[in-house]
Amino acid sequence: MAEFNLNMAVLRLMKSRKNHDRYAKMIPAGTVTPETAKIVKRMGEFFETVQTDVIRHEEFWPWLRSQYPMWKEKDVAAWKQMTAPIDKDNPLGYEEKVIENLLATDLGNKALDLITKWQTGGEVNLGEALREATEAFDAQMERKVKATVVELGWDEMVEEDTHNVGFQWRLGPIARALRSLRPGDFGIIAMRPDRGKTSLIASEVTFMAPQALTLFPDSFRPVLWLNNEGPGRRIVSRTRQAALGMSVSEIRDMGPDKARKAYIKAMGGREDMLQVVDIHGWTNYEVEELIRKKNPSLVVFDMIDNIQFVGSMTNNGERNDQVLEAMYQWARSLGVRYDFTGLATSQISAPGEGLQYPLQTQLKDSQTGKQGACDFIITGGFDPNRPASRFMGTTKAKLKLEGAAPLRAEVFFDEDRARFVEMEEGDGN
Amino acid sequence: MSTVFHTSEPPWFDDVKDLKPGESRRINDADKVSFNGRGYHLWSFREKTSEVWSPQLTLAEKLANDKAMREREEAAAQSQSLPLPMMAHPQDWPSKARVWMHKADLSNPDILRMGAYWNPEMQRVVLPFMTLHGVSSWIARHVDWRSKTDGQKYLKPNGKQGGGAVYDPYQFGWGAVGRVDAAVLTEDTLSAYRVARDTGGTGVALNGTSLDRDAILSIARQFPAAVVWLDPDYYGQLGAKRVITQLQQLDVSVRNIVSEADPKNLSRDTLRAMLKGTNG
Repeated sequence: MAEFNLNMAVLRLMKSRKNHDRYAKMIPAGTVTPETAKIVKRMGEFFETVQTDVIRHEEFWPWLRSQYPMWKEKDVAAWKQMTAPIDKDNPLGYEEKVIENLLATDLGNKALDLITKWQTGGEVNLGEALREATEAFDAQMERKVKATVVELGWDEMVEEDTHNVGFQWRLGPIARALRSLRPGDFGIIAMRPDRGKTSLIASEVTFMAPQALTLFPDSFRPVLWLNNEGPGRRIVSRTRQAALGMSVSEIRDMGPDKARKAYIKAMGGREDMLQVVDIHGWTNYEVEELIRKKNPSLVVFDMIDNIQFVGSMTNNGERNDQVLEAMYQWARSLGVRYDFTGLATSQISAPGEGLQYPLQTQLKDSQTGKQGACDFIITGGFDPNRPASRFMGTTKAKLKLEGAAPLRAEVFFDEDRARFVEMEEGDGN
Repeated sequence: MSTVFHTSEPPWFDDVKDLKPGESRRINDADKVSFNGRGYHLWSFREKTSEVWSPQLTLAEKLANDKAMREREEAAAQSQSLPLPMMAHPQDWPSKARVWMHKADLSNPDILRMGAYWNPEMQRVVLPFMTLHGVSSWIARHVDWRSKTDGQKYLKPNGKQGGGAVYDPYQFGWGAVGRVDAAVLTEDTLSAYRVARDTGGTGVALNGTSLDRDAILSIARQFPAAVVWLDPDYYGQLGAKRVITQLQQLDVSVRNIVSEADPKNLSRDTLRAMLKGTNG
């Protein structure tokens, strides 16, 4: 077997304008010979001066020769021999391999540099730096090799929006204001501490979970609740109440066996439709691994702020808000990559206390960061004069239904049953 | 047939004292003495016996000899033409020089065919060859090299050689059967000769681990494919990697072979099998 000829493959890849535009900049230094790098650079200049989609040697060579009037005879011979073979094409499927190879070589070089630096006593955190390098490699592999063009049929688009396909909201006012949740959507539910965040999500998620069975009939895709706040048992208990719409004493009266059957029925026939996972002290890698394994249709992050981020994920941010922004961006991109809907909880900072409709800037520790990283923010305001009510508002609503008014609604919080109930016309006034 | 090794000066030494290295002289009806630069060898063709006298030199004499030898080497390296004197018959060589050749499975006829000879003035085996550009050149190996005080292990002409010692099987009348249409790049000339003799591929010795661009270019023009078969040590493989990249830059299809030992120390069958890719 002949050895893999990276240099020639790169040149043959770069001779097309499309590929040159896309990949020329990402050839890592040191992976190809200086000669190849020089030719690739000159090809770029050639594309700027000549209107052609594919470079052919008979056009390229005279131009290249004219760029180097000082070449001696043997230089001419060597460069001609070097550029002549570009007219042949790479075999089918070769180009992915080339790009993979380039990236892998780059990773190898970086790792080698780091190790050399480390061995010679340079100031480098080897584990951290290596992880960063592999992360960058992974990210580039995702982007560069498996880059997929977004496809959306016109029928599909119209279908989705007319029938409002996706997870339906339980709470009437939200359902009328926002469209249903689809994979890739990412939203934040924000309230002051101890005002019913968990209950609101429990109320909504227990309504959405059974819908996954019909939305994704081909495979089992549960709803995953990642909890690193209080103990998970409390959340399980809240979700059971919300699913049944019953208080603890009502469930006790019903009896555990009957309640369990009722719960399974409410969950569309599967008890494991909604899974609560304690992730206290987990890192972002472990979370991602779990998501990869479970293949969920909807993930509740309660809360992202508490996940330990390792590696360069945090964007080298110094300030807390920059770090948080990167963390929320991570969760959102996770949703797109693993095709699930994300719901994150966030607290509202002190200035939002007592406001029926807190402002967008009043998310805890973040005035813009978290806000930018999501599609919608539902706030639940609390007015001390109306303690049984919560005021549902949106400070960001990319999923707004066509023609709908912005969400502004007072709803009744049935704390004992972990349910939020829409008020009838005239209620509460 | 027996050999007597003298420990003190033999009586016939006075007659041959003035011999220069590489010369021989008949001293009476039946005895002939030759001097290979180190020792005097008497051959009695009537009695079929021989005598050897290697004079013990003083330190001053040794140093003076070494200095003279370095000067002769420098002089020889000025020219691309073969350094004289020439002792072409292996029987006249010191045993170390012969062993070096025989170890690489090269017989006396092979030595003659290669044109290799012993240069007694420099105490080296000289290997003449044709370069990739068709220019004749040579390389001379010290057979007993221990350190830099012995001079260079391989002595080459100072002028640019134009890369690569080529051993084309056709040149020796081989290779009509089982010819391999590729340049096989080896580190040393003996390996290149072995490849040409035993496999039918064209052996090209780099006489080192690198090739200049002109040599690479002429390989690319003459051969559609190349096999890089350098020594299996660190520097050999480092050089192999570089040469492979250089050749690939000119779209030559290249294969790297890493054998357990230098190609010159492998058997004929192993050479053939490895080149065909059936054994490695």
